[in-house]
Amino acid sequence: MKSQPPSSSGPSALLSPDSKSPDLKSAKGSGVTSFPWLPLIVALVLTGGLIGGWSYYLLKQPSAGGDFTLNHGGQNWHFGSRAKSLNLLYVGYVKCPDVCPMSLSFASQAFQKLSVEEKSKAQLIFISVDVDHDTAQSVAEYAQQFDPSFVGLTGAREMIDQTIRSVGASYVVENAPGSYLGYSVAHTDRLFFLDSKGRVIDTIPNPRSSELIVEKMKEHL
Amino acid sequence: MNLNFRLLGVVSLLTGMISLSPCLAAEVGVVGKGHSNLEISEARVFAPRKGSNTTAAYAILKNTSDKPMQITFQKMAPFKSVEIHESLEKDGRMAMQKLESLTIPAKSLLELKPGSHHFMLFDATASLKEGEMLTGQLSIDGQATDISFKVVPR
Repeated sequence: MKSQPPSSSGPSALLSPDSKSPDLKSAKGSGVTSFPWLPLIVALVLTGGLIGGWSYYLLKQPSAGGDFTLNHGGQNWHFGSRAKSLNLLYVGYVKCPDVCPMSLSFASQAFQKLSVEEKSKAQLIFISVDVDHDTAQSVAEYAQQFDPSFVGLTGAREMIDQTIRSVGASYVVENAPGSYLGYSVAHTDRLFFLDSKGRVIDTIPNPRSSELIVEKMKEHL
Repeated sequence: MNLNFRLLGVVSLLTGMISLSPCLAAEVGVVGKGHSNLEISEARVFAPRKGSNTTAAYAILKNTSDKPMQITFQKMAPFKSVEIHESLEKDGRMAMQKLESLTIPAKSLLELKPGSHHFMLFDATASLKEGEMLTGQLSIDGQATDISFKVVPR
């Protein structure tokens, strides 16, 4: 019972010392000085936002495309010097019997629906991730049959891995001992849209129609 | 009146189906040793692309019987080997797995289509022409059945 008064009076004693109460009153009265730290907080938030946004932008760049050099039919193929206004990218492998040729066929149909001018500003890059079985010649020849402008690329495994990782694609080579090929490659099934700097500006997951590809291409051209 | 109309509708529908069935039969891919409980349509093989030694065949398979049907894929000239595969999404990637057989439930359709079930074909020993017909040998519940597939462009 005796301990109650001090505990209840403690906080009030802290909150209302004689020296502070006039300050609080005058603060209420003036309004302007009610939150003297407010501009500081606003400034901090803005600065933090700017720094955060800038860092995000800088960090985001490498994880969303960029420049690369791979191999086209035995020659170096440098994106930076071969890029068009719009560059579609698909990752797969030449011995893929089902998903890759389907996606490339839809892309090919989409290219056929573009005007000559639109088509001249766009290209499709097919990167084979099957380094052990696909050759620079086989990839280039394979891609060209879907559309003469399609560019089939391969290269050193490190370069391929780095390039496809930069756009957010991936693959896993799976052993299939009971199958004739003995392996298959699980890979990202997505059309990436890159601008002339190689930055990913759009994607179509599981492309299953040419209409959507045409629509997005026209939107970005 | 209502009943008569309904009856008329049913009769005309049945007549239509019966009269259409020869057309369907002409389109379906069963040749030679057919199977009475399998209806097949849109049987096609995509012409292989240069650079690749694989391609795929697709079709719509219909089990008209009231029992499940088990299908295995034996061979198709001029390919060295054939397998049944299924493309499926795994960990955000499209993967493929080999299947020993397909089972079509009673009175059901199974569509072999891109991005799903397909017959995978390896190493053609001859070049294929568009429009050419190829014979695929299936085994349906142990009974050999020949299906003809048309070579089509991608």
